Amino acid sequence: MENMTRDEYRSRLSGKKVGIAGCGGLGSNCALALARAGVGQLLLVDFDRVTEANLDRQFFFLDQVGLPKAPCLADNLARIDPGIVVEAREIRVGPALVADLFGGCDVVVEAFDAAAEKAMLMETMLLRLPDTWLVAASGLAGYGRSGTLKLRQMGKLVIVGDCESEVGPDNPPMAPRVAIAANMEANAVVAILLDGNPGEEA
Amino acid sequence: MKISVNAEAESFPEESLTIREILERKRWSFPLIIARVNGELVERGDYERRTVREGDALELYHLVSGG
Repeated sequence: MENMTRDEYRSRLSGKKVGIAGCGGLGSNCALALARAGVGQLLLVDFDRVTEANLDRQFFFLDQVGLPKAPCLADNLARIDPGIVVEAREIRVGPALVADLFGGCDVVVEAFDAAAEKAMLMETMLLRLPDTWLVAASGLAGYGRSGTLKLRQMGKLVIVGDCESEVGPDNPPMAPRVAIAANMEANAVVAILLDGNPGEEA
Repeated sequence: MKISVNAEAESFPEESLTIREILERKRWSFPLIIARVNGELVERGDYERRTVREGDALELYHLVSGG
């Protein structure tokens, strides 16, 4: 980690663009941290709408229930910093769209819910955009066990989480542990943008 | 052969094994796995064909739902 003043790091982050694939528990909280940290451009992609149940862990408000997530998240981020350039896309990400959508990003954050969607984005990114950093998450359900949430890196692929706690009817995602994983993703993104690596000691 | 699996050294008596054989040895039966050999993605349909040899770096990531 380099030593930098607040103005220096914010100035460097202001010129960066981060793509966020999925605006649920991971994506909304990751975008919140990146917006506060001063990342200049965010691309938010999600096909879904806010539900009341989402409010147990996602960065939305009661008066946004029923509205599409990506533009709602853009509105919420603008209340923190209207200077961020935010592009909100209400679409389902398929393999054919990945390169066009995320080609201009310095880092892409995988923040989907379903494992099959995570695999699709990771495989497509590794094949089509192998030179773009990808920060993904796998395994964050439940509570406690903060220390089992790890960061693994090989090349430009970073995976945070415990790689085993799957969400299910008796193991729901809960705000604290989801937000830890989301902020581990955001923390890795900031380190990549400032230092060129996710900032973990080897 | 001596290889690395997720950056940990491992050795197998065989000179080469397919990704599928290594997953079976390690009792990994998870439905969604990302596999890379020396940094290159191995697509899921190729696990029976792609072999790993001495010195290769294998990465296996288990993907589970939640986000």
